[in-house]
Amino acid sequence: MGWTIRDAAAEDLGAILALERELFPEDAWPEEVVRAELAHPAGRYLAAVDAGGRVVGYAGLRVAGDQGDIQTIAVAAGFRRRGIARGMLVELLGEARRRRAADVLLEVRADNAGAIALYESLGFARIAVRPRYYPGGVDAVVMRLAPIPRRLPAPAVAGRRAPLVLGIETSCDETGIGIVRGDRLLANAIASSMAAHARYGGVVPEVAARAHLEALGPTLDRALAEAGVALDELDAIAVTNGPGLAGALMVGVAAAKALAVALGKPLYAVNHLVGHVGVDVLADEPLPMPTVALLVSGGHTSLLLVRDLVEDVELLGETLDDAAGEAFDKVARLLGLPYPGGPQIDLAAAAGDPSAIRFPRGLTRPKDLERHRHDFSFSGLKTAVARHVEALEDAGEPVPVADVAASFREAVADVLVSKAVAACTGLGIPRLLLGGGVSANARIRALAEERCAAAGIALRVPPLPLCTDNGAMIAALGAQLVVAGRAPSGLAFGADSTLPATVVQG
Amino acid sequence: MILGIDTSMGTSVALVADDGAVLAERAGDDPRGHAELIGPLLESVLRGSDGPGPAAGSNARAPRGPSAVTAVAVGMGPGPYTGLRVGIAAARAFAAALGVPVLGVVSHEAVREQLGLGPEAAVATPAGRRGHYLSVDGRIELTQQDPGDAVRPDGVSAAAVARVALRQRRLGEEGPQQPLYLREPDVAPPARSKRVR
Repeated sequence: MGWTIRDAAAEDLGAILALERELFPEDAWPEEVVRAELAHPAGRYLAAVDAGGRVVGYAGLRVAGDQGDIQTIAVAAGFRRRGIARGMLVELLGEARRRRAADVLLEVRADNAGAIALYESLGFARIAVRPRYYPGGVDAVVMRLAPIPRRLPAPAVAGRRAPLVLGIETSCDETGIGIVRGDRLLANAIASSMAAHARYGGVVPEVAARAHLEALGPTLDRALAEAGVALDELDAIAVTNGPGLAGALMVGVAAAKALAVALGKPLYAVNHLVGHVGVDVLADEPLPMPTVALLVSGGHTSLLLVRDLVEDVELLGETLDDAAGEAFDKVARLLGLPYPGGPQIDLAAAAGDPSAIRFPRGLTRPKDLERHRHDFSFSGLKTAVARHVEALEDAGEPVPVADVAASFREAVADVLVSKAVAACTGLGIPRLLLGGGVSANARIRALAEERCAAAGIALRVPPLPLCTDNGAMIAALGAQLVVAGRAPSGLAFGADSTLPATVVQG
Repeated sequence: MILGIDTSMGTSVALVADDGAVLAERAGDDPRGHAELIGPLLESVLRGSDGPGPAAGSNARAPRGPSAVTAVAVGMGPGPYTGLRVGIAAARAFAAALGVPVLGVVSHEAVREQLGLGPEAAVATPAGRRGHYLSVDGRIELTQQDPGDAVRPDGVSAAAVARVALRQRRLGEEGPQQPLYLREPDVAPPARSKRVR
């Protein structure tokens, strides 16, 4: 029978009170005390739940100044000797260390030999006795753990605990390190080399790879500090192994392998594109599966059907030539606007008329739809914009930059959203997730909201730092693989710049 | 105990005792595949599992394991960039995991160490289509010219990298902290966009 340890919440009050009264009939804490304990900011309470979600144990920690106290720990009678108490204790000791406690104290009934043995096995020492502390005249033994060891033992019995996973992303120009515990985001540190690419008008692979090598260490430090965890607490490491720029991917893959070997942790190679979808598990209410996902960035334009995050991802279609973000960059350059093109086109378009020029929508004619219903093409659009601008220049007329930008952006947004909405309605799946840097584009978001609302489709756009390339999404997908019981990827995998979207784990 | 890594030619990983004795060394000669090989080679050297490549000068009984590593020595090149970065990224991450220092070494100095050459001996290693990396008397350059009678090693030994690092540490010298790319990325800012017709 499996069990899971998670943070206790206010909703657990009833279940914890019932257990408290059952286990400590003579000196159970009153309801107000338990309620206050659960909500106290200087502490942390855990609940152990069985496979059906029933609370079968709980434990609490309070840290005052540099001293930690185990406030209570209890496991229901039928669930003892399974490592639940140990699992909760180890988690709380880690928490005490994160809160910079120098030591941890607890009191235990002198006649509870099993509990005392457990505490001693974790390094607690007896420091005092409080005579007749408990009802019935039983002494309390005061025990102390100092210092809190950096390396805490894993629970003796394997229980399902939300895994602590570090994710590394280096597939393009963002160096991302994220840390999650199961579906909870702990850190999302990102360093971008975008500015270094600006003078070239696009991402230069060698420039990106050099930047990753220098940014990895500082970004890792920032993520660990943000999450308040130490590397040896991790349950697993996940890394993007494709698709993306080969030389850039290799920096992350090499670093991830070295971390895995140095720390003795399992390593998961994961798909960057599926990571963009997997990041939604970090939302308060993740979209149910199946869902359609539209991933649009400087490197990708893909439409995915995700039936199961770790089991079943289908590529419905993708761009046959340029990625949408690339088209933005090229058109921006054509209009004399700086890199990156997306935000610049957005700015310029604000004052323009989106219907001023009717630019072509790639692969939307009936004949194209037969073969490329879910595919995209932006090369013809880019050429049409170039021809339009050149014709004006040849005629000696001024180029209406705002109108061209607005009309171009409208053509991109229209074709992206039309095809995504058509996929949802055609497949009968009323859910669409947007991902990738281009989903930051104001017009694409607005049009998606409008058309999804009209078609009764639930639209999800993750917050921007989780929408652009980041390590948290890789950690989140890695954690899903761990929870699903997938075997680690080993240490021999390589970077695969063309890894298909259907391969969730590389 | 020092962990040595070099990916400036093939992929080489070694464990060297503080007195310079080689405890384990493994290498893959493939001039590509650095990202694949680095994991199994590290695992093999540190945990004694079977991995690709022959074990050289190994003393299988010596205590090993990541926690015994007190520094990571790494060849900072010169070498083809993509492969070179694999070793440096791995070395930095490994050192970060254990909280130990990274000791940078010029890979050609490791070649001199492994072949018993002095600084006056010219050493040349391949730089892909860009020609050769050539070093002599402490100067390093990227050259398209034929390196003539310069010594051309079959590979760079990670054990030699670790030994050079030990010597540098003893002498209070510091090796390079940054990769020896020797040139800027091969890219020019774009010209005015091409006309389409």
